[in-house]
Amino acid sequence: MKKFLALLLVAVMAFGLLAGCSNSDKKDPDKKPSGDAPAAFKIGFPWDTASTDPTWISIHKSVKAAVEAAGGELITVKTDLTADTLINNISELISRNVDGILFMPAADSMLPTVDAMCAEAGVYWATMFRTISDDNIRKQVYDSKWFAGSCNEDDEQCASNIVKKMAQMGVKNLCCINIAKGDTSSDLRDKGAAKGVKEAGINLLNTTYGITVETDMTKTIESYIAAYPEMDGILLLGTYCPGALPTIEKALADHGKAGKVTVGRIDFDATMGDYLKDGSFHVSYGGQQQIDPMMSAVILVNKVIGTPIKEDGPSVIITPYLELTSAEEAADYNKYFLGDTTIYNEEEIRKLMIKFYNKDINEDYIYKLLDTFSVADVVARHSK
Amino acid sequence: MKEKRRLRPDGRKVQALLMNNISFIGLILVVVLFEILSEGLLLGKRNLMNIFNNFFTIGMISMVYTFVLSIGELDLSVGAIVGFSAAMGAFASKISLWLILPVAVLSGIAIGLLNGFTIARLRVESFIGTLAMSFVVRGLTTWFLNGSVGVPIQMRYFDKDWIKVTVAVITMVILYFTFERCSFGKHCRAVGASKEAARQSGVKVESVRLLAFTLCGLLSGLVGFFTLIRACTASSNTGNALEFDVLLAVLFGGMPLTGGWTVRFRAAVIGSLAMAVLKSGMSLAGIDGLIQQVVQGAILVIAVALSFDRKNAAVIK
Amino acid sequence: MKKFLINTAKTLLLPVIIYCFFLCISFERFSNWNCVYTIFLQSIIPTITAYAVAYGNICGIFDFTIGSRVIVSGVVGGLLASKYGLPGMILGAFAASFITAAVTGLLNWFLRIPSLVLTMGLTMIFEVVGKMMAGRFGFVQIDTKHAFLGASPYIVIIFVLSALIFYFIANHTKFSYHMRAVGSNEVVAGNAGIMTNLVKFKSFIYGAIFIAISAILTLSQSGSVGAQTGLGSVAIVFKPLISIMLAMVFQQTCTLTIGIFVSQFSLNIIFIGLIAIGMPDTFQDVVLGAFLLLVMIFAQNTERVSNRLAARKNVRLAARG
Repeated sequence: MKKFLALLLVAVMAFGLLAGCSNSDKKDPDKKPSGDAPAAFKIGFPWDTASTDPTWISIHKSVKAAVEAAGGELITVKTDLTADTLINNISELISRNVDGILFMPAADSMLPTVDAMCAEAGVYWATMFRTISDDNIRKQVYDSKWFAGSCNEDDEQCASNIVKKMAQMGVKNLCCINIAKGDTSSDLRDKGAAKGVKEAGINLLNTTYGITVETDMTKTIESYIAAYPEMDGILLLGTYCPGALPTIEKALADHGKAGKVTVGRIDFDATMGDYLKDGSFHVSYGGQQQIDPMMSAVILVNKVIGTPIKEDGPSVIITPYLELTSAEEAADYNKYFLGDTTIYNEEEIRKLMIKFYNKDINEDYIYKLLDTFSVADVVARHSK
Repeated sequence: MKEKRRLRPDGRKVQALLMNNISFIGLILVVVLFEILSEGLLLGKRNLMNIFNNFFTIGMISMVYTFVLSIGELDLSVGAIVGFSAAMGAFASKISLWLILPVAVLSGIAIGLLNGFTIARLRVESFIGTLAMSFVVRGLTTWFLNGSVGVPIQMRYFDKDWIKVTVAVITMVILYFTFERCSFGKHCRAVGASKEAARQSGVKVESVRLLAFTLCGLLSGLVGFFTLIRACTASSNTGNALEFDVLLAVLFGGMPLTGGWTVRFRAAVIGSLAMAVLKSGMSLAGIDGLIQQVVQGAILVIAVALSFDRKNAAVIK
Repeated sequence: MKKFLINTAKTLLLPVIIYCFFLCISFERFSNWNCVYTIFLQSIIPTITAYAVAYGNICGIFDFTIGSRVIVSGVVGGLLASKYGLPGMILGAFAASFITAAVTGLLNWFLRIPSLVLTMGLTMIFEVVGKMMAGRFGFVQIDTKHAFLGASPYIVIIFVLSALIFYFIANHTKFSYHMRAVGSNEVVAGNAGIMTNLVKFKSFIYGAIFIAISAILTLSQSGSVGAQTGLGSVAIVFKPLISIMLAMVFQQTCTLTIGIFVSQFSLNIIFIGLIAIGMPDTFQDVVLGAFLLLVMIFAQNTERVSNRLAARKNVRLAARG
């Protein structure tokens, strides 16, 4: 019986192998755009498809909109965003004959591996959200003809700026919460916070990492309150905890500290409005969660369809952080950034970002476009 | 009447045969189902290597996990050991690239030995002992790395398919013979069936237990090395939650948790293969992440409910 | 009573020693009442979660679902709180807790497969149920006016009541004896006429009381409960489980009810202590793991070491004599 079953399994696999081989379609590396629309193409995108977080959903929507605007198909695979899983995801996407891969790197050191894999398969790739800090890796990646480029924000500068902003608001003793050690953005935000603290002449009392559950967030804030009575500022440099801000505000309110401790965060979220209104939350830098992935996808799509934004070398675009300080802006953000539509609809993407349809597009054009991008701009375009 | 009597035992035989091979049948069903759903992509040439890569990490540890399970113990620190070994290997690369493999493997052995000593000699329960060890090792890894550490891209040479296939096959053959044919494998199962009876039969119970955990550490170290060279990165997330994947895989394969003589080596291989195919198949079929989790959970319960040998288990805990 | 007090004092030595250790290192930060009180308040929810784990643990059941059941109960409680206020929250949390416990208990009874397998599979399913119910934000938030139970003195009163209920069920009911019998030897317990499957089912149901309380307090204290996926909820069980293991060690000197709390209190002193002395938070896991290992090694070997010492002494005495 076992032998029979083993033979059956081998037979099924052999059949599948033949079927798989016959299905494999060859890619044309010198694909040139022609006609009214670009040739059909597929973009692979490893993303956490189990997340119901509106920000994470909006990221997926932004990428999808950019790919579909140019007539492409987005293939999403589930990932936990760790380096090991991302490498497996990329391998899977290559085997699914994608023309380009967009992902959020877990660390700089994985990028040469990705480049080697993509070069071997003849697949373009691009990154989003994360910059490349390591000089050697950056040079190696930028020299690769398969790296289409990236769009990211300046995490270090942003962290430094928000710390200084909080210092201006009167903060002298700051406690921070961050994503995780080893995460590129997290490390850069740490670096920026340290820089900001030094330049503003305030104290950084402690930083806690990797909080994913609300109870741990409460515990950490309460511990800060107990251990550092002098604390007058809490900065959420980043987190994957779903209800982070409400939890922090609740812990502060329970200890009579709401409004007395200045609270700031990087990355906008859907809960900021109420706290901005009652004065217990003070400042947030973000808005890049939607524009970054959309621009990254646009860079990749343009490269894949044969109309790269920059002819020589990769397009690396730095997006500015938006500052959000009022409840009205927060409400607009929820409606127009996290709502059913994307920050630029497909028609706008085609007109403003896809070079196939607009020959004027280059890096300067994109930067000019980004200069006009704000919460008010999205509202103006989409509230009609 | 006579014919009926004759038929009955045959019917039981077939039923027993089916039950005995349920994990194998399950694997075939999973393969067929997703081959159809993915329109022939699942067993496509390139995807077979994806399945193998998914299998490699989980399968290698699952195979050695057989020894730990056969002595009736659990090891919840395998993911942490993989992460720690990868980190130590990455640090070693700063001195010499030749040191990566030995340092990773030795790190794994060291933690495995420590686990074994704590459990076998100091009599700490394996569940809590290895859980505590995973906290310590994971914390140390994050502390040492203080971010992530990369290794030179040329190390990817060792990530070649043929090298990994060779390593997996050699490991499988060695572990299979050690488990099924060598005295150590038999001693492991004897200890799992009854420590006291094994001791009375002259088995050095503590040494067997210590060795099982050390072996598990060794293979985890080796997997740490391959994980490191695949991504060329060691970070605090390396090997995260791997212990659950390994547990799921062996349970998928119908591995009993009680240890002893009912533990089968093939359960680890079939379970890991089924997990790898399932993951790849669901991804190719475009199944949403949340549904993937429900399917995995439901299949786990159903597979074990169908294959679990209730007759030979005096107590089910 | 005198013995009880002496034993309790002995048990309290552990947190006192740990506290004094951190007091010596950082007197400025530790020498205030607020610090002790915060540690006390922080220990309440994990202690009640540990009470939920304890019955199953005594029966010898591995239960990975606890974290996911706390989340599902919290999410249902939170959703009903927005419609029916505090009664909605309480009823919702209890109903969800009992339903999920009954599902787990019944499947454990009728499927007759190892609890580790069953609860691992169910955790994956419950996590998704929680995520689906939590809606598009992935977490449920309650109005602060319904969240007063998470603040002092209500949380302390609820804790005392929970501890009394746990103590009563664990020590003064027929179930408590049956539970210990099943945990120590299920075959013997079955032969003695105890319906072992029913006892295990009851352990899930009684545990559900504390899961519901833990969910309500989590919701009230944090103001929100977020869903987890990818077995992320399992981490919620680990720390309460550690306190149970430590409490088992203290069982000779105090009851499980107090032991669990004292263990949790000690772990939280370490947590705040490390933050206060400015240690990186990654160090907490190292200290937590090492502390657990040391206590377990100490507990498992004290008797063996003292027996060996006594035997050596006897040999010496015999040689002299």
